[in-house]
Amino acid sequence: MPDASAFAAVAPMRVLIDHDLAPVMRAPDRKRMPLPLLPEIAAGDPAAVDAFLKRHQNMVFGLARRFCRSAEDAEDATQEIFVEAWKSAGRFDATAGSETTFLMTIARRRLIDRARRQGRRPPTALLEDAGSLAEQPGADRAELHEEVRLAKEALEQLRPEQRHVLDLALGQGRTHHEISAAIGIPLGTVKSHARRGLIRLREMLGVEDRNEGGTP
Amino acid sequence: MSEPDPRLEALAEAIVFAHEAEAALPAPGGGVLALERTAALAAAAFAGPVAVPERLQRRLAAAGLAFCAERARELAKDGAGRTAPRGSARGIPMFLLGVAAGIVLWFVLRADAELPIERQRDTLLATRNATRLQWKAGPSPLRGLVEGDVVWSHDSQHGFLRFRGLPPLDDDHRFQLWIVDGNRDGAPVDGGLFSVADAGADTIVPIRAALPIGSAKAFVVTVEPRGGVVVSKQEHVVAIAGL
Repeated sequence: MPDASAFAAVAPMRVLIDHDLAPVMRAPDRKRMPLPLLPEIAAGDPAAVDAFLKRHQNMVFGLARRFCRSAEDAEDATQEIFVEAWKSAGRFDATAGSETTFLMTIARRRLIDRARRQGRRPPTALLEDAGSLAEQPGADRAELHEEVRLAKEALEQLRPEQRHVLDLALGQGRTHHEISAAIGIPLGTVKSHARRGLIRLREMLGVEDRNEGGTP
Repeated sequence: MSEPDPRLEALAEAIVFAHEAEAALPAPGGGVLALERTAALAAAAFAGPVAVPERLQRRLAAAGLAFCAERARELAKDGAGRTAPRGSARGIPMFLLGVAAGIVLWFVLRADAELPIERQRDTLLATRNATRLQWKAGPSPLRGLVEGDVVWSHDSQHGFLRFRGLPPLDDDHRFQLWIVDGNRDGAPVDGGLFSVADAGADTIVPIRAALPIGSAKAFVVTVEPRGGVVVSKQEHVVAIAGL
């Protein structure tokens, strides 16, 4: 957990960034976003649970495959993520964010927890594929949820070096030391690209911090 | 151009590298959640969807059913806690009334036992306290075009399953009924083995609960080896009612 000294450490590094120039993406098209199923899941409706799985399982498994060392581990992680999402369904607040965002936030937290608990690292081979938004095997672009599709579009508008660092860190779970060594830039520059890229992405997507009560 | 907020930048860095050994997600508040949500969407965008293997689909479906059964138990307990405090003055007469109704119904059904099973089901259905639940198809491909219903009487601890569209199994397998009891923790109660001869005709099967059922919250039919199992792995759930 970063403490106050961590924030103080970056305070003197004030520099101008170009977030004012960041294009703002259009808001997610609500008509393309299906009605959330989590309220019905909170009531224990098996049809809603089944529909939720059909809607989200490939997206969650895609992320788990990136973070886990083996297919078996990714399967365990996927099940763990869904069970936690169902148990947290009562805390979902549609006014605070979408169902997809709620689920993917749980998924990333859970994958981080698992990786730390198991002391495992993602497969190193992925590092060689970094720097692109290449489709994964079995991927179906049409299957992307509206919010994820917009995130993908927004990532394509980031500076290439920012996108590259975020791909290695967020998409593959690489450390800043590994990223620095892999692409040959100083550690400070890796961190700078990461934080500015994320902030710019948040601005483009218009993601708000509204209603912490909707936290997974 | 505006100056960056150093606190926001520190948070963003902490969130991007939260997976590192020495790191952790910052505490909620002050913009953390928005950045965390952004990071999660970006991670999903980088990863993209990957087709889930069939065995994982089955695992997830079974986990979903287990969650729903557990949720039904929790909701039943909450409801019971609100409406019928244990040991209340009103609870004893209601209990005795339930016992009396069960005895009467048992005699009625016993007299009716020689009737064809369709008539037995109709008789039970006509009683005041019988519950009727429609089947919903389960996730297993062995479900066929299953439809039909469950009729269950708590008072007599007796009931019938009615199916149409459930394909017959090979000789090494049987359908097995499971009853999710809202008053009982642990695995569902075995409701008996049965087979189906013709998917195109109505099949009516009596329920044979292995234990008394306190509060039947759901009925689940799985495919199991010929002799049945004590606890189902729920690899092939073909029909669900009541959840």
